[in-house]
Amino acid sequence: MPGKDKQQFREWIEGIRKKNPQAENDLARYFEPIIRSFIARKISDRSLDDRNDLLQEVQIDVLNALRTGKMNPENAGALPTYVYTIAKNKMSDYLKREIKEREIKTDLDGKNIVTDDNPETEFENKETRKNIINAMQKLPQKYKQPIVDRYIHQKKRSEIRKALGLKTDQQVSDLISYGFEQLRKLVSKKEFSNLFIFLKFFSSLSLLGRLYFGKDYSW
Amino acid sequence: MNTSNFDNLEFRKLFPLTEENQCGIPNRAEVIDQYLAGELSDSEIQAYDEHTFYCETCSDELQFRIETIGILKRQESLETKTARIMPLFKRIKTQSWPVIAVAAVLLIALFSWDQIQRQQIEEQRRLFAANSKPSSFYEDMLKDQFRSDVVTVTLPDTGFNVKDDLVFSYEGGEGIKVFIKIFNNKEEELLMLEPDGNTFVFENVPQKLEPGLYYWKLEDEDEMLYLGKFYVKKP
Repeated sequence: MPGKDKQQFREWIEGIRKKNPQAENDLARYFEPIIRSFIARKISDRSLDDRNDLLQEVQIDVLNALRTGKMNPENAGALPTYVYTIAKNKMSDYLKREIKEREIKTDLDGKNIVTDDNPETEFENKETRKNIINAMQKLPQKYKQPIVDRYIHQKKRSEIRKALGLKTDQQVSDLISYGFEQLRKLVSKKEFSNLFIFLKFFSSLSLLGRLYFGKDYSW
Repeated sequence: MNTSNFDNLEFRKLFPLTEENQCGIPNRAEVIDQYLAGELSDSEIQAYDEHTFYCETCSDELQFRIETIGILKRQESLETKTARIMPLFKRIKTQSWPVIAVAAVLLIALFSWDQIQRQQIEEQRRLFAANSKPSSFYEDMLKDQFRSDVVTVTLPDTGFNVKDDLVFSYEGGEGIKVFIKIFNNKEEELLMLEPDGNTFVFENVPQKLEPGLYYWKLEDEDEMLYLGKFYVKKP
């Protein structure tokens, strides 16, 4: 998946300066999954509403900064760093705000807030989540186990390496990476299969249309 | 905000990009793994975060892994909760079968006993209701206040509830041989008693007669001298 080139960034920055809504829209759409991923990594245990609010705040700040010409198009190559810096600062503000809110609540209640160790995490795409669960059930244990040991049981790579009889820690990371790759293939296969069923359904409708009404309803 | 030249950005030294802005990290799998396991230093984390704003591959991969780990954590949490409960069931399964069997038998016995008791009480109620239905024939006679000039009955009062002994007593009728006859509500004669004197004690009535309504007659050899009634309650 290639990244956008400097020229594209420059066009967006100049377009936004000229109040071009298309440029704003393109830039927002391009950075949305990147910012979303960053937020998910930092506050994955917070509610989806909180994460969406933060995403919007970052997007608004980026656009406002670019509208008011705070970034020189000459530095367009560093646009992702610019967005990252805003996202990082927003994240920092969010966490500070949260701590402050907790302190206020602690003062009011006179006791510490009990936090949920394992909150229910909502995911952006419920269908993807469902597909991941299905795919994990199909993933061979030899790939699933290292992932579970590493990220759930928080084992060190050396422990997993010894248990699996591998030679280097790097091999553990590679095995985990391969496991995720396989998982991803299984998820894509499922999503592709859903798409196939969807298309098949509409092609059947089109065929019925031709049979009964003598018209071609395909598009 | 520092927006220095792209080529001079610090993060690129740690996590490089190719000229086409593609991921240039040689040990990418290791970096992602250590990032998620929290094994990178703060400066490395910041640098890699910045890298992901250029590298869609890394950003996308991290997003997928975070979601997957979240699901795994939730499943693990569910399994842990289940694991806390299951040993209890296992212990019950493996060690307590005799206790459970005895408890079950006792429970069934208790339940059966209770059912029998209920049935018996119900049967008694039904029987009492049947035995307490007044006889229209005798009731009409009672309405007429059938009385004799020969004797005056002092006991029992009409409609007396008998719980133990029943005392029959009358005055007058000296030298006359009298009989006490007891009838059920179906007008069937059940007993004939021969009092020796003006008082007669019929002992332990509830053990001799079923609960219900009874009529009694005081008769001499020629006629009925008195008609009364009493109820027998269960002992």
